[in-house]
Amino acid sequence: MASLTMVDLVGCASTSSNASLDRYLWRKTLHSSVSQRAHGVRRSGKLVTCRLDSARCRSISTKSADTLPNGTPEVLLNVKRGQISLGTVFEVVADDLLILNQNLKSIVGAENPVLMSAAEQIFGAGGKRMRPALVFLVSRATAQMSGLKELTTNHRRLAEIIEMIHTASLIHDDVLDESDLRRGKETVHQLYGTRVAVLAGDFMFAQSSWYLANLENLEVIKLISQVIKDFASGEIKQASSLFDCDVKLEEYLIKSYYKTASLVAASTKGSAIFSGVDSSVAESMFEYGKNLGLSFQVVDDILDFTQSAEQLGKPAGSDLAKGNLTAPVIFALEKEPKLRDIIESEFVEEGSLQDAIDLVQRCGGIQRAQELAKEKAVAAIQNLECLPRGSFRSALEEIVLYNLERIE
Amino acid sequence: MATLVKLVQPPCPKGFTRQPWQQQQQQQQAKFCELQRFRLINPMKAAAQSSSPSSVKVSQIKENLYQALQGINRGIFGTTSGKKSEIQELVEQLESQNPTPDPTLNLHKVDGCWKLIYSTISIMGAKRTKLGLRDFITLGDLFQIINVAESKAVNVMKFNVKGLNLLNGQLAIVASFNIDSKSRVTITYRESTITPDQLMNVFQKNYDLLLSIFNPEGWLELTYVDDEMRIGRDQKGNIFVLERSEERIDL
Repeated sequence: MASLTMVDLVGCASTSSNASLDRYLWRKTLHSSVSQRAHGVRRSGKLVTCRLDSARCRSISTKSADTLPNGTPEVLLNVKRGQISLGTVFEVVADDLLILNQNLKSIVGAENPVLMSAAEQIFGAGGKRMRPALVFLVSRATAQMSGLKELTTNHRRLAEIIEMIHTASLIHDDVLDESDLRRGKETVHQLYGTRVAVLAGDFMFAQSSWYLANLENLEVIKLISQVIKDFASGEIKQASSLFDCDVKLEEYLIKSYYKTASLVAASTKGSAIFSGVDSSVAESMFEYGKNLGLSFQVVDDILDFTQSAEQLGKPAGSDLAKGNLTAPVIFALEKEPKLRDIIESEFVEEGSLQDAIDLVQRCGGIQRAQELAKEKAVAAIQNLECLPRGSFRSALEEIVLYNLERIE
Repeated sequence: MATLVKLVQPPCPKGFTRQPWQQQQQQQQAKFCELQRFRLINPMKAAAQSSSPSSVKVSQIKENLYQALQGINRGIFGTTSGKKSEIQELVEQLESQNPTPDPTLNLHKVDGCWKLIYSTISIMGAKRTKLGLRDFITLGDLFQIINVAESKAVNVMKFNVKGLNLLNGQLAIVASFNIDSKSRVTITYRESTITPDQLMNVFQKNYDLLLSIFNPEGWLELTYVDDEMRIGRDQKGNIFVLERSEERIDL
């Protein structure tokens, strides 16, 4: 299946003010058999060359206005797209991400050879760099609004700090979960032992705190420090409600916020703050990050049920087995009281875990969780409305859609 | 016979490691088993001894029971229904061989300290999480000290808290009992104490939950009593299997 790239679509946009509507139509008429590649993407996102069928492109842009449908978020969600590839979504900020990678390795590795190898292991392990990419995308999108010509050092540092915090939390999570594999590679504690893993994580939390303080922006400092606190709160909240069938959806969302969405929201808001935009825009960016983060976590929780063991890299239903009751289970518990008994028994009986997974599927728990993910996604896209239309805003939309595609 | 071989090496209940100071007990057990083997090989001589075929049968059932109890931590934190049935079956077999059908007329036989080796009460799911009995606190031994002279029974639950300087403590529930029939008593809750104070802080929030699990209130049927083992069934349908213990408990 061909991948539809954001950049190709941008290149096809006419110079008229209906650029986004043209793009929408382009998606509708394009058959998936067309494959395209983009060349030489410049920072601003405009194409240098394009192997697209430019004739088709021109014909779309001449369509009259009254036949063009509305580009509301819900409609965007329902459009059948090709598979979104994050790599190409992030191409508009590819250079920024390259610099980030180099900086990260030098920051972490500088102190100690063991930490350097651990850093190589974790930073080289094929992470998507989604959080720093979000920082760069929001930075560039909001920079346009405030007339900032180029990203500041603060923006770059913020991205590095965010990625360090994220990575530190992953290293510690793997220790807590006793996981052997992360993204197909061995975890830090598997290779170097628990001691090194704990120290590496601590070092990164400490280093990011120091860099954060040196940004000398109190609002951002408070914002990011809160995240580190939230990580711990989320883990504690989760541990204290294991196997608790009375857990409400609200509590689950709060826990998901602490564990995932908090960091994303802080990244997007922080970027907006450093761009010097209005506080209302910064707040919208916070909401975008929060809704995206929540949508992301819900999708992850759905995949834990629906994917096979090989795809997940760990046994399916492992959240449920540990007593961590996520969105699909919470919805299913409303419909099927039998599920409660099975969960309360902590799955001692042979095959009871599989019975529970089947029950969750049959009660429409997965389906309702998908609706929840979509609901948050729609909200996230709506939060982007204050941003100027362009390649960066589109990329931010694409990220939301990419996330949903994982459960289609 | 496989069982003969097993008798020579007595079964080891989980958590029981042979320490030097336990060697005396081990020797006593070995002596007991030697005696049993002697009785089996020489049935005439065995008959001449005070033991009867039924006591041999009882020790066999007990051995099977100990075997079945291996690795399930007294059944409190989850057992498969298959295992539960197996143990239920063995319990019923023992009860059918009860040498003391009128325990309340022979209360001296139940007097003293007993240690729980199996129960159908369970602490699972949300209850277990709320009480911190998952990673944070470990449930140690459970004892019951019966004081016939004062018609008193004290249930003692030992706890270990990891970290916090390896805090050890206990919950003691004091109850009084009245005789209902020749095999049944009624137990009335009197008071409960957690020592030390630090442990009380840990359980403060969920104290009622803790008590509801271990509260002995209600009637208790003594369905099997001999010198080493006691089995009881309570009003809530729970089964308790206890063995004689030399443990010294501070109350």
